[in-house]
Amino acid sequence: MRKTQIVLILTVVFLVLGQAAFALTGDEILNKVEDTLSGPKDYEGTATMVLSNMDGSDKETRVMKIWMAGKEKRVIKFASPAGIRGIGMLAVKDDEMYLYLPAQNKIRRIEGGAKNGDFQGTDFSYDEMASYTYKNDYTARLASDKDGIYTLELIRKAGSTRVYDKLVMAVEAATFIPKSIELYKDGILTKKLFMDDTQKHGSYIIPVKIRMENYEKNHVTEMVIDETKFDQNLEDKSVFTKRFLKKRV
Amino acid sequence: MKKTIILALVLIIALSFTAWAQDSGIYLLTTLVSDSRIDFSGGLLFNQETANLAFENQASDDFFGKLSLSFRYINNPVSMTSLSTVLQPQDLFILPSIYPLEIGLDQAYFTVSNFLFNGLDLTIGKQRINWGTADGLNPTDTLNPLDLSDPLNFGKKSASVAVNAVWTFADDAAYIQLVGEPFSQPARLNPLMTSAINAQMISAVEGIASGFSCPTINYPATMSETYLAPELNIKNALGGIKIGGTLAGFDMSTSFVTRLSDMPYMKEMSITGAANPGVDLTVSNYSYIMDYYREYIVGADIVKDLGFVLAWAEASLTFQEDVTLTSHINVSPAPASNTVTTVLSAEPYLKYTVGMSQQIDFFYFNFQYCHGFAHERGNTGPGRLQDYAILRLEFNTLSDKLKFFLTGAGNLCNLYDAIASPDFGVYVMDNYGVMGEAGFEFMPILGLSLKTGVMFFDGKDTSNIGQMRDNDFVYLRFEGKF
Repeated sequence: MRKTQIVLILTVVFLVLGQAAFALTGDEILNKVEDTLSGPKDYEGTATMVLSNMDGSDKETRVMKIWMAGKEKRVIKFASPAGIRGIGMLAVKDDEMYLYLPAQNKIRRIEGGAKNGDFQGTDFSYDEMASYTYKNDYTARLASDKDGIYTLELIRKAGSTRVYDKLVMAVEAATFIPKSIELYKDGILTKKLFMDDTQKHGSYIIPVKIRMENYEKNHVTEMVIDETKFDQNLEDKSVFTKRFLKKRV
Repeated sequence: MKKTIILALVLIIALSFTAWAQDSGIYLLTTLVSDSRIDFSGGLLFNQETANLAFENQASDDFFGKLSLSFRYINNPVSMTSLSTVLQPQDLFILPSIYPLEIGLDQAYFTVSNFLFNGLDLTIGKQRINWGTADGLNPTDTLNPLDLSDPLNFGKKSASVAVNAVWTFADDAAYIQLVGEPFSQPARLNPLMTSAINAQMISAVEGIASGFSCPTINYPATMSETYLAPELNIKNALGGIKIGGTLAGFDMSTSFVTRLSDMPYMKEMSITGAANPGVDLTVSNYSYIMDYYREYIVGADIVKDLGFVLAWAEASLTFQEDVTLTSHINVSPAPASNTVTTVLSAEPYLKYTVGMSQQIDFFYFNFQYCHGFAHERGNTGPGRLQDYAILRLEFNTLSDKLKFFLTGAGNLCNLYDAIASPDFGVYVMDNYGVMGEAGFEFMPILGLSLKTGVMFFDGKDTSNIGQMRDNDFVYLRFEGKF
């Protein structure tokens, strides 16, 4: 009986210690989130964006093509409506972004501050359209772990130029895909991003329905991505170049 | 009945074409702009509608074509004989005088990517080739001629026929661009500029009258004005080369262009007449000839995101031979004379723009300092380079649907002269110009913009902006893209 008790106690101790030993830290979870979101070597897709007020009024629909590789390289080109067709954005590095305006047939370097500004009137900033990188700018702390959801609190590092000082990220433990990200500016909840739907493509899981609610503007942008293609060696095909940016879709 | 049938047929063909065009990958973009400027006495300074119809097709990965047509409708009668609002009776019968409409081929070109070898893009046709990293004030942007039909849109250029080859290499980090144009296209001027040239002639006549102490001048009915368009010869071609790339986060380029200057100069003037000293001067003939001269432009530009601002610098150094004016004056009783004066010396002149911009939340600012606007030439003379400092502030709200803006510009006839002047303050007060603009732009739906504001000017005649001091105005501009 005593032996049984000892075995049981040891088992419980091992389980507790084991869980503590194998529990992921906030930064480790954040690494996995970044690795998951930028899992494919590259991908291409068509995104349909619907912009509206929070109550659903004043709806506008835009269609754009997106090419991504790694965590930083992005090309985004608007396909419709006609008034913005051909406008495109290229991100090569964090401090190297370009905007192509077909009416002027000119590629313009974008100001650093514009990266935090709205991308062509949507509720996504240039930065949010261009990157899923967090760990360079934020320190993550695991705030809670329950019901299969990790809640991370990300605090901006000193010296970072990111506009949001705090993010609260709800991460699905099974997939490491964020279900939502709250973006705080000066401690005030300014925006909230929802990844409402994901799709599994081979070994990759990617968000295909993303919604950004902007509480400052009482406005929302929903983006649905389809026609996705993966690992086409886009970098070798010179997609992330100013030359490609000028091409129409 | 016949007319109705024809109209119906045209409509059916147009609708069929549009449907076919969409199916075949041809996209149509229509831009409509209505622009009115009203001075404080109620005068309409600018009153026009413009439209642009652009068709484009990315036929394949490596083949793109574009055709765009421009329309400009002047919303008040303009005499087709005098090109002014003073009409002749017959103008009232002429449709183009009563409803003046211009139709132009804006751009028409095709681009072949990876032509001959990977990385080489070739564009042929009437095209806009936009050089320079500065924001609208680009001293290296010299491959297309100025379009000064709107006196306030200094940076506007017209497309010109060109063969344009760009070879990109080193993973898009560097490129070489070669441009050839068989003909150096002259700039499009506006009536204010041609009036200024005529005023130069009047001033010369008044100088002669003053020499004879004649209080009265009798002018002939007309002045003979001749503009010698560049001869259609390959010797009047334009050629340009540009080498550029990105290194350590800097985008930079250097370029060389040789062309006929797009702005004309007065090559010859003739004044013939007879003076009755102390009484009057009767001019029997006065005329002038305008021509174009060749210039060589070396340019360079650089832009870098410094983190706190995006900063740029762009410069061009222009070389030319002495540009001279020959004056034939034959006014009795003085003996006839032929004098040659230099209107633009062979001394090279440097134009440059430095600037920065940044966006912080809903605010945007843009500051540029510019030595020499696009139409200015030389270090001396009436058309010499002037100095401008321009600051623009914008505030966006309502999900970027409403933008408030303020623009301020200061213009000094010449900053170097001011520094060299014994009294800087006196020089500035005698040679300044200022411009202010305040307004807002409302964009209720994508593609629609309603813009209104006020612009005011002040200063002295020696500065370009100061010369506009009597032209304060309120403006209203609608733009639709669909």
